[in-house]
Formats: sequence, C-alpha cells, structure tokens
Amino acid sequence: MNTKELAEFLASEEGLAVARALLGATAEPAGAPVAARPGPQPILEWRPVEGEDGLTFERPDAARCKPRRIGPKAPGALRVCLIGESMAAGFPLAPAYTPALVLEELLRQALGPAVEVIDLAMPNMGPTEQLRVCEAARQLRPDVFVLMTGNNWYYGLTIEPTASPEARRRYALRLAEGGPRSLVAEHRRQLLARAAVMVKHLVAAAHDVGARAVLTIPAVNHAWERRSPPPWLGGGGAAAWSRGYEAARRALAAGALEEAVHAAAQVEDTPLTGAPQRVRARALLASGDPAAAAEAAMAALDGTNWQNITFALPQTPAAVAALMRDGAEAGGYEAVELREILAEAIGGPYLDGRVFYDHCHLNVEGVRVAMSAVAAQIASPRLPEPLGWRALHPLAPSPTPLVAASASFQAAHWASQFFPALAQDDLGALLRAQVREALDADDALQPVLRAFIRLRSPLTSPGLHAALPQASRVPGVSAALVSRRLNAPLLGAILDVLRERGDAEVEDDLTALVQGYERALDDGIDLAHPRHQPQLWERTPLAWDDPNDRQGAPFYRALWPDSTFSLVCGASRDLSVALTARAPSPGEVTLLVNGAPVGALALGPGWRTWRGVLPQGTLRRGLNEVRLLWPALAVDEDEALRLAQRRLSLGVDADLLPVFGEVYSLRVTAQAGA
Amino acid sequence: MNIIGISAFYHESTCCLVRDGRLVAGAPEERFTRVKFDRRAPINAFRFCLEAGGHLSPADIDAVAYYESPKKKLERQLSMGLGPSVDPSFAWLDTLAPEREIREKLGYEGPILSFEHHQSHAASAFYYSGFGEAAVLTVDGVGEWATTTYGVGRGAELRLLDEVRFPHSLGLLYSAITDLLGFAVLSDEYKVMGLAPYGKPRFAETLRTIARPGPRGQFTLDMACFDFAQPGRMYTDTLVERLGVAPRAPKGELLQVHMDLARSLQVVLEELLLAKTRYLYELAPSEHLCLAGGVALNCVANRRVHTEGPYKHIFVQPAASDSGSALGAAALAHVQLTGRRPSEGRIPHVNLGPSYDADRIAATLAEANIAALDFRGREAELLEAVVDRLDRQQVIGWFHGRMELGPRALGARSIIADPRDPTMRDRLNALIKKREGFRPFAPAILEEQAPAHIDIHYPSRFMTETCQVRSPLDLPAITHVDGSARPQTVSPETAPRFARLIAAFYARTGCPLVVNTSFNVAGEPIVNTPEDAIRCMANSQIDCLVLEDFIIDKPLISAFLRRTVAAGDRALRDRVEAQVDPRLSGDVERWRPAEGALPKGVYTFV
Ligand SMILES: [Fe+2]
Repeated sequence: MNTKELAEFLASEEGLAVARALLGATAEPAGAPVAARPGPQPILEWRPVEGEDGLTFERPDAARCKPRRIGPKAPGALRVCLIGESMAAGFPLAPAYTPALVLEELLRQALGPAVEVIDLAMPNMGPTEQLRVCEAARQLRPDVFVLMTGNNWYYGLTIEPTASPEARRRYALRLAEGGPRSLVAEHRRQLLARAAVMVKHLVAAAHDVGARAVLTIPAVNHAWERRSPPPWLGGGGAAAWSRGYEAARRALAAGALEEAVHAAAQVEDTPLTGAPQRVRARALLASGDPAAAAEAAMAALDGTNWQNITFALPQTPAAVAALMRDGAEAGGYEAVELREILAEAIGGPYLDGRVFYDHCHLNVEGVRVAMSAVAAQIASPRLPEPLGWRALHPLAPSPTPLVAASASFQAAHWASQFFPALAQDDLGALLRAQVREALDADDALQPVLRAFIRLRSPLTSPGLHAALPQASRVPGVSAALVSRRLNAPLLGAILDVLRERGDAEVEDDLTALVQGYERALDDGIDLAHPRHQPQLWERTPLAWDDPNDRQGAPFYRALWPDSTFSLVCGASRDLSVALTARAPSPGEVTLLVNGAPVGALALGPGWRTWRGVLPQGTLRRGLNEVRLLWPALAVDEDEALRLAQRRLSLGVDADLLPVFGEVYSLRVTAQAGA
Repeated sequence: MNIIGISAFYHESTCCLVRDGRLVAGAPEERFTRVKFDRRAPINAFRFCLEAGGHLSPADIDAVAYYESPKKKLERQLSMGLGPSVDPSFAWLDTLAPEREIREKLGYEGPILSFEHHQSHAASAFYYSGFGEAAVLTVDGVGEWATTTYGVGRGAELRLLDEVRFPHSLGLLYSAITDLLGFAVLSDEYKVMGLAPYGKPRFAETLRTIARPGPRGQFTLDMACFDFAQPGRMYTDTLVERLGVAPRAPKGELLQVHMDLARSLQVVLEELLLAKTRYLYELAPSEHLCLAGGVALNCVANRRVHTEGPYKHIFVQPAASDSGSALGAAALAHVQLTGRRPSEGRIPHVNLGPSYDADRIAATLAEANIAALDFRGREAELLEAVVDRLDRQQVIGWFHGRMELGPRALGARSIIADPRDPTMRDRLNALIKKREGFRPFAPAILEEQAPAHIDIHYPSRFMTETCQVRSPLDLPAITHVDGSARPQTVSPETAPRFARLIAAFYARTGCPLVVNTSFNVAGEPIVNTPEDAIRCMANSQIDCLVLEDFIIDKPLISAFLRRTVAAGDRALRDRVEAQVDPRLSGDVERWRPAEGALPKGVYTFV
C-alpha cells in the first residue's frame, strides 16, 4: 500500500478506527518520574533565595496572605506547612481570613508563640501541582504537613472533551462492554487508583523529612443540589429514567414524602446521575431522617462526579474518603475526618449551609471547627493531656464583618453559576438568603449589589463601566462584578432583597439597566448567547472552552425538555423575535414569555426559523423569562449509543446525553419584522 | 447565492461570505476571541458573516467552501513519517475533523466543497485582481503537496499548470531561517525581512548551495539541513554548521551576523522568486501577474518581481497567507456552482469586518463615564482636531468603519502619527507597539501625492510592495535604513474619511502622509470593537483615540482602568498551563490546553 492508498484508507471512518486501535495497542507506557532540577526549588510563588542566613524564600507581592519571606526555621519552633486546594486556601474568605491563619492562632494558643504555619494552599490546584508543592516544601524542613486535599483529585482523569483520542477510544471499549454504567465504573476505578497514588506520595514527602503527615478527609455539603439528566441507556432506559424521575419529583413537590422516597429508589440510576438520590435526600430530610438523607446525598454525589454527563465539581466521593481513612494506620499518617467533626458541631449528620458556603468550601464557622480539630490533632502529642476540638473552638478567630459579607456575596455568585437546582425556586431562595447574609454582615455590600445591577449592561463590558471602580474596592467581589453574564438568578435575588429592605435607589439602577437593554434591543440581542442563559453549565459537552463565549458553547443545546432564557426590557413596546432552532424528532417547540404562550414552530432535524412578536402585554419592565418547551424525544436509544461509541472509537468526543433541541439564535429586537 | 469560504484549523482561522459573486464580509476568528492566530473552528467569524449578510441563518447558506483537501494533506503527512513526539495523540490522522467541526461547531448543514490549498491561494489572487486574464503564482510553506504553483486565469477559468512539491519550499526555507534567528515561525517572518537591510549578503553563496534552483521552475532544498517532522525546530545541526551561525535564543541579542543572514536569505529568496516568475512567463505570457501564498507577504520581494520580472502589472492578494484562502475557496465554489466568475473588478478594499455606529459608541462612553469630545455630524472639525494632535506629535489610535481583513491595518483600525518626527519610530516601537526597535513603520500617503514622495506611480492600496522614498521632506519614521518604505496609497474612493484626514494633515503641514501601523500591541490581534480599542489605549502610550466621531484624549482614561487592563494582561501572560506528572499516568489522561492557547514556540508542520 503506498501513501496515497494509505491516506485514502485512513480518510475513511473505518481507516481512522483501525489506526486508533493500532495506536492504542502500541501506546507507550507511562514515562519515568521527572527528575527534580538540582538546587533549590520554588514553592508555588515562593522563590528560593540563598543568602547569609541560608536558604530563604520570598514572593513578589502579598496577594494571598501577609508574609513576603519565609526565613530559616527558628530553633525549637514548630513549623507547619498547610498544603491544599481552594477549601484549604480559604476561598472565598481569603486572603484576609484563611485556614492557615486560624490554625496558626490556635496552635499559638495551645503551644505558645513559637509556631509558624506556612500557607501553601491554592485554589484550583490539581494533583500534579500538589505533589510538586509537597515535595518542594521539604526544603522548609517542616515538622508537620497538613494535607487538606482530595477534592481536586479528579482533575484530568475524566472523559472531558479535551481527553486524548486514545482515552476516548478506551472509553468506547468500556461503553461497548456495559453501557454508560461501565463508564462510571471506569471513572471510579481511575479515581481510586489516583487517590492511592496521591496519598502515598504526599505522605512520603512528609516522612522524607521526618515530619508528621496530618491528612484531613474533606467533607461535602449534603444540601448542595445538582440535577443531571440521564445519558442514553439503550433499551428505552433513558426514557424510563425520565418517567421515574419526574414521578419522584412530582411526589416531592406534592409533599408525598414516602411516595417520593419510594419512587426515587425505583429509578434505575446507580451508578449514573445521582439525581433521583437527590430527590430521595430531600424527601428523607423533610420526613425527619437526616442520617438517611445524608447518606442519600452522598450516594447522589458518588453518582454524579464524573464528566461528560454532568460537570464534576471539586468534591470527594465516599469511596475516596474511605480510602483516606482506612489507609492511615498502614500509611503512618494521621487522619482528621471533617465530616464527623462538622456533624458534631452542628448536632446532626446532614451537613449544610451552617458550615458550608457551597459544595465544598467551608464558611467561617466551618473553618473555625475544622481548624480547631486540626490544631487539636497537631498539638495533642506535645501536651500532657490530649486536646479535643471543642476546647480550642472558642479561641478560633473570626474575620471582619466586611470579609464575611464579601464571602457571602461571592458564595451567592458561585451558587448562581453552579447550582442547576431541582427547581428555580430553590435557587432563588438560596441566593436571596446569601445576599441577605452579606448585607446583614456589613452594609458596605449595598453599593456592591447596586453596582452589580448596573454592570449587567449589554452595552459596556464591566471592566470599562464607571460603576466598577468604587464597588471593586470591597475585597474579593471583582470576579462576580466583571462577569459579562446577565446572570438573571442572582440579578433577580439582588433586586428582591434590596427592594424588601426598602432601598429606593435600586429603582435608579434598574432604570439604567433597562435603558441599556432598550438601546441594545434597537440593534437586536441574541438571547441564546451564553451570556443570557441563566445557568452556566447547562451547555454542550462537545466543547471545553470558556462557556461564556461561543467557543465554549457554539449554540444552545437543550438537555432538559424545557429551556429558559432571560430578557431585560422596558415593556414599553412590542418586540420582534426570530427563533432558529432544530430538534432530533419532529414536533412543535412552544415559546412562552413569562408563562404566556406567544408562538410555536414546527421543528425537524434541519434549522428552521420562526418569526413572531413578543406582545407588550406579555412583557414586564425588568427581568423577563423566555421559555421554550421542546417536543417529546422519539429517538432510538440503542442507535444513539452505538453512534456515541463509534465516535469515541475514532478518538472523537461524543455526546452521551439526549438533546431535546438546539437553538442557533433567539434574536429579539425592537425593529418590526426583524 | 450565499457562499461561506473557510480556512481553518491550522493558523488564523477565517470565514468570508460571497453573496451573488460579491465579497460582502470576512474576518479571522482571532479578532473576536482575542487569541492571536486563533486556529479553532471560526465560530464567531461564521456568525459574523451570517449577521453581516442580513441576519442569515445557516439554512440560508448554499455552500461552504473549504480551502484545502485534508485527505491529500494526510498523504504528505504520512510521507513525512511524523512520530509521536510531534503530536502524541496523532490528532492529525483525523481527516474527518474539519467537516465535523464545520457541522458541529458552526452548525452548518448544507454541502461542503473543498478545493486544494494552492488552488484556493491562486483563486484568492486571480478572482479578486480585476484582471481579465493573468498568470498566477502561489508560493507558501506547504499545503497538501505543492509549495509553489504556476497557473493561468482567464475569465471564470483558473488552471494550475505546474508545481513544486514538498519538501522543496521557499516558505519553509524562510521559516527555518526565521527559526534559526530566534523569531517565531508562522508569525515573525516579516521581522526577518525588516532586519535584512541592516545586513550584508555574505551568506548568500552558502544559501545558494542549500536552496538550489533547478530547471523548469523547480528548486531543491538540501534536506540534510532541514527536518520539518521534528517538533519545535525546523533545521538540523548541518544547517548550523554549513552557515556557521549559532542559533539565536528567542529575544537574544541581535548581532550583525543575524542581520547578514537575514539579508542573505532575502537576496536568495528574491533570486528564486524572480526565476520562478520568469519560468511562469514562459508557461503563461501575459501583462498581468497575480501573487498569493504566505511568501507573497514579502513586500520587498514583491517589489523586485514587479520591477525586474517580466510582468507589467501585478496584483498581490492583500491577505496572501492562508487566511485569504477563504476568499479563494469561496470564489472557486461560486465558479463551480454558477459557471461565472465571482467579480469582474479588482477588490476595492478589505474593509469586510464589523463596524460600530457612533450612537452605540456614545452609549458605551456614557456608561464608562468617559467624557469624550463628540463630533457627530461635524467631520471637518473632527479631522482638524485630529490634525492638531498629530501636529503636536501625538500618537493616535484611529478607529473608523469596518475592520480590515488581512494582516495590514489600512485606515480602519490603525495607529497613526507624524512621519516627520525623528523620535516617533522609537517611541512607537518601545511604548506603543512594544516590539523590537529595528523596524520602521509604513506610510499611508495620499494617492495623488504619492509620486512626489515615493518611487511608485500606481495605486498600491494594500501595502503589498516596498519602494524607495524620494521625498523632499525628511521622513525618518517611515524610511528604512536602505531608504525604502512600504506604502499604502490612500484614495478618496476607497477610504474616504482616511483620505480626508491625510488631506487635512497635508493642508496643515505640507506633508501628505502619516505613519500607519496596525492598532494593537505586540502579541495581540488587531483591535475589533470600540472596547478593544479603549483597552489597547489604556495599555499603551497612545495619546489619543479617535473612535468614529469621538475623540478620547489619554487623560480621560482613568488610572483605575489602566491598572485593570494591565492586571488583566499580566494574568493572561502568567497563566500557567496545567501539565500532568508522568508518575500519575496510566490513570491520567493528558490534559491539553485549548487548541488556540498552545504555547508560543511550539509548532509543527502537520
Ligand atoms: Fe498556504
């Protein structure tokens, strides 16, 4: 076969599949460990400096917390290195208030002033970087390594679209073996193997310099809800799943708790999406069984935390927590089980907003409890009598009101993006509670909230907007303020809370926002642009770029039978609308504005455009909800699965989730007949 | 009939729309995503073209024209024996990827026509040249197999008559030496061209033995000197030995030896190009020559071909590199579907991108609380105010009308300044463009005044040729060390406001030209939106921004904004791309950054 014939062959699907299989069979084994460069190593942003007093470390600025220099260890002093992810870094309270600062204060209270806690935690730190930091930290000669990690260990593991073609091919093999459930099993196998490697190497680094290794086992917020649609299951399984899930949700909504628990348990879901377990957890909690509810919540998390079916969040599944717990004795490390201690602190097993801001980040009380436990663990062997966490807890410092207020607002922003709730009402209630909490902590947040409203303008990016400079003086709020998303859930919550507090000025901000939108509507706004979608992560799994822009979400894909978009307008005129959409099964898509049907479009597999009017009478001044109800799915699941498997075997990413319909554009404009 | 032309997935993905034979819109993806040379699916560019065509839906598109043949390209790639070190995932094996991305990311459902790489280049030059018949020469790095093609166009017909095949390539030769000189391949070749006048061609003799001309338009590279299948380096140690020039580290010191090598390369390139045009003339005698392909961005060589070659008139596709191939592919599709030539006349301008109306800009400025001077409805006063500032040696960011397609700013997204100021060149280089100091800037000159100041007597509206400066004025900012310049002649027909601005400057100062350089800083794509322009100003020493009818003087940009922009920039630069520790592999998939975010300096010819 000459190159021309070979190219001809490889350019076909068969050829590519053969090539991928051959490349997979001959894939090179894992490389050798990277040899460390000789000489002093940097540790995160700390740069080594060799001077008169030996090796010290300096960093360019004090962005994260106070010290700029790590000097040589003082004789007799206790040096602790705290290594971990965002939870350990104190997000969203950092840099003013961090677990490391709390730990240092508590250890000083317990052991005297000669204690130094070095903060080597960093948000978003993945497993590779954790190992690197831990190994580099040996240069500091610490006495104790506190390893507050585990939530991010899934990084790079999973079947996300950036996975290599070879990885995808392996997923195709798993899929062929046992359907989507075997993908979940494969993910679990990989994650557990990864966790074992991480624990071994992290602990070994500590032992290498004769230090104690204290491993905290992360806890998760049981009340943090996510819902995930089912993947294609074959044999009508996805359709059956949807029916069962809807039945359970209906029962829950109707207050028929027992029926909801029962119906949720009937859904064939394990291990798959976790969503029915979520319904079960809520029903169990409502019926007064928090222990069973906590277990159901953990089962939900264990089912959800893998990619391409849902967005995996930094959380530690039960099996990983068990591995960390069970390996302590043989591994020679000390384990601090945060779940137990937090449960003790709140007086019940169901962990929620009392100790968490969100899915995994501890709030002020959570940090105070957790670090009391860690401090007690570290201090006890050095004291005549061992200490319990309760003894130290009252001594744990608290942040300033402004820092606490900022953290609550950041938490609300975070929740508004990562909370695909069972129902919109729940998200609204959570956001309103967090916004109220922020204002209660410090009313300096009021101008920030008002600025948030003005900064939603479609005319000007927040980075240029005149409302930004003053508001961004409050530490930590910039990320929420500069997002270009409309973020209707958070915007709505802020408007509600400011209004309920009788803030008259909020109407001026809303007027400014409405004017901006009215101006933009003269040119037209595409509501299907990621910026106007209320929930960030309800998006195509076929791309993995910033979902705020088109590279991340080329067009809107409906993973549920209805889709919601947000529109701000003045309700002073009719608006024209043009919807370009398609659906896999023929049927009608219905368009509703604030619940009122305004039109329907017969859909098929190719793009079609419907033009109509959003009558003034259906519109409200301010936020409006534009909804699409998609036709029922009539797709052969087995065929869909075969297609996905085929693509994966070619090394190409595949969509395992049913898509009810797609929107190319949903253009609303003030011009007639646009 | 609506045809979308696409060149993508290799370098600077681009879309254009040809409607009923008329080119109505076009832009590269990088201008929207702000990722320089973004090679991902041109999602934003595609949507822009549809909007510019009148809110079209993908169903309104009759055909997509793709600029090369993935299958033939694979043949060549297979022949190169590319190993896992080039791309451990062998992603290049997937020839179905372009079509899949067009379907799944652009959402296009209709027919896709693909054309060969050099056919698209040739079409991008011929069909937009306005010549009824012409000889066509395309020269680039490599497409499928061809690196150079010889063709002839007549009416709607375009035929390629002969070719030079990979690995013998002038583009790859130029890029390999660019690499050796420590500049970025596929981006900094023009810097080598700018360096050449400082050197002596003392390596030309050696280079002639490495790139040897052959009969019938052929030439051969001595492949002991090159390795195009290794990642990150295009040359071998043999080339280093033969030349006796050690590779320069990126950003290392520029020595005379580097300038001499640059000059030698330029000389040899020009010789070979001239030989090729003479061969083409044997095949296709004509008065007219059309040029395209990345090598046709070499405006110094273009000038030599024009003055010393056998052709009287030449047309160089303004977007000569692969970006412009989208235009060629769309033209080819139009011919295939209609049997007719897409357009009769020469492409009048390349203002094919987005524009932003003054009222909308006013609303943004109000929200940003920038108290800009408002000249709406008073253009003459606006231009006088700009001339005031130019005359005070201010550097102006000039933003007007539709953004240009192609690598040159031609008065829509330009930075302009007084060419008479002896300090201007250094100021522009150091403080505004943040680039190496050795390169001069291009002049934009009133077309009717051009012959009095530069050695060019025909319109050259796209900065595709250099010429000698012959002005009675002293023009240090635009005159290269060898007395040359790369002019844009500005005509009131095709760039009316820009022409009136220069005319006003001329009336005031007696100087009918301004410095014209692209509106961006180093490493950033040319600005697209008014907000991009404000950001660019906040992040550089531009004194004044003219946003359509508004003038924003630097003091109006707050310190806060300057800090915010600078911090954003730093964050972007410092972004550390996640890497996976091999100890974890086996159970770890390789984490790859988004394609567009590949680190600089890592390139392959796959
Ligand atoms: Fe090319």
